[in-house]
Amino acid sequence: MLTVRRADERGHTALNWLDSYHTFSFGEYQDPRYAGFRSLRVLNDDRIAPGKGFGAHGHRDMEILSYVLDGSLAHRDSTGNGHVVGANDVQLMTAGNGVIHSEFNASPTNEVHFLQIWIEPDAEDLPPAYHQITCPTHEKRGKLRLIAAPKNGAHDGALTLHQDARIFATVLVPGERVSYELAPDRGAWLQCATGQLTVGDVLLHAGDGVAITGESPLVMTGAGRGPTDFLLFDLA
Amino acid sequence: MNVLIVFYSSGGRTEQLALAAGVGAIQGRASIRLRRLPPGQEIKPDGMTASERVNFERMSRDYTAPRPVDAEWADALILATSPEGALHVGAYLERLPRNAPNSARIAAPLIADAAPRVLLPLYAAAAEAGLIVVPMPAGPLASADEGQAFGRRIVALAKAIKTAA
Repeated sequence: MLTVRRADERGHTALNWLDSYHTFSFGEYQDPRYAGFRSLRVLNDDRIAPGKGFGAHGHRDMEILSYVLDGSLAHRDSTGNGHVVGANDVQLMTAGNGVIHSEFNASPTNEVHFLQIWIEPDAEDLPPAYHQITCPTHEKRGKLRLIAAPKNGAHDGALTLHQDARIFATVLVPGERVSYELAPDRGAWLQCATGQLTVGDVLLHAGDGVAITGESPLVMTGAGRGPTDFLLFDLA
Repeated sequence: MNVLIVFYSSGGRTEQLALAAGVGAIQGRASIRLRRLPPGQEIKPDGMTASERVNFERMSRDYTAPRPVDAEWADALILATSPEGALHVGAYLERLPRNAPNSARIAAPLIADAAPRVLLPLYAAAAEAGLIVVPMPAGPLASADEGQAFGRRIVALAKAIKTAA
């Protein structure tokens, strides 16, 4: 079964420095029909104005991924560590038993566009940690590039999640396709970040997502006129 | 449990203390807000070291000043400052509404290397604001771990007081 979540039906926060679309309930946007999908709790599609961002705030017991599509994001945490997450970078923060951090657009001139993803961990009170990888387009082009997986299923170059979840990033040009075998007891979330693609008979545009259960294989095909960048979540 | 951390920092040292207390509050399963008091006129960025100035400018970007709704939201206030900034924290306490809806709130000043002559006026100002004062532990707070322990303790006390009330 495929259940589509259209981009224009998402929650929306518009501030003078932030344009954020919420696939699932987040902050003041609360809709019990969209409280998450399996362990996937938050999927925000954020654009931040140059030099602006989220000031210091706290997190606990959450796996937080930032997938930067365009621009760069400066991150700083309560231990004084700072990182810049650029386009094609993915950062995973294990909030664990508590962390305070800030996230700002690192550029004084250009917008940053990124997806922020929260996954509920399978354990509480983990030690806070940060890891970051770079996934150049050629690693995602025409294939499912594993970007995060649990420790016992991780491959070289993938981030280690504290949850039975695997996340893939893919870039397809129109007509190009990839397929994925989804185990019967698992669910998938597919999020179109940019461009257009089809999964089965469903056409997805940028910002659209789809929950998938009881279907396999999943066949994703690039559509429209330009490349598409999407994430596929395989969730217990 | 909601914990508001208000701090006064110009070069970043007290910010680290506030952050440690904030992490401790999160470890205690509280929601937190971090707010920085605006720098006073005695702060002269031109006289700072390079790293202090970087921190000063970053903090001006990373934090907003406390608003009245923050204090209304909070079950506990942690007030982090240097001895030099205690005057500003005292002034903040004096500005708090005297008829706050939550009468079981507590205030916990937090100063590294604090002398009684600095702490006692803060305790008095918090008490005059109708807050239950939690004194600092004896001795200086020398590490982030101690700051975190302080944050956890404040959450535990705030929970106990709220339950009793």
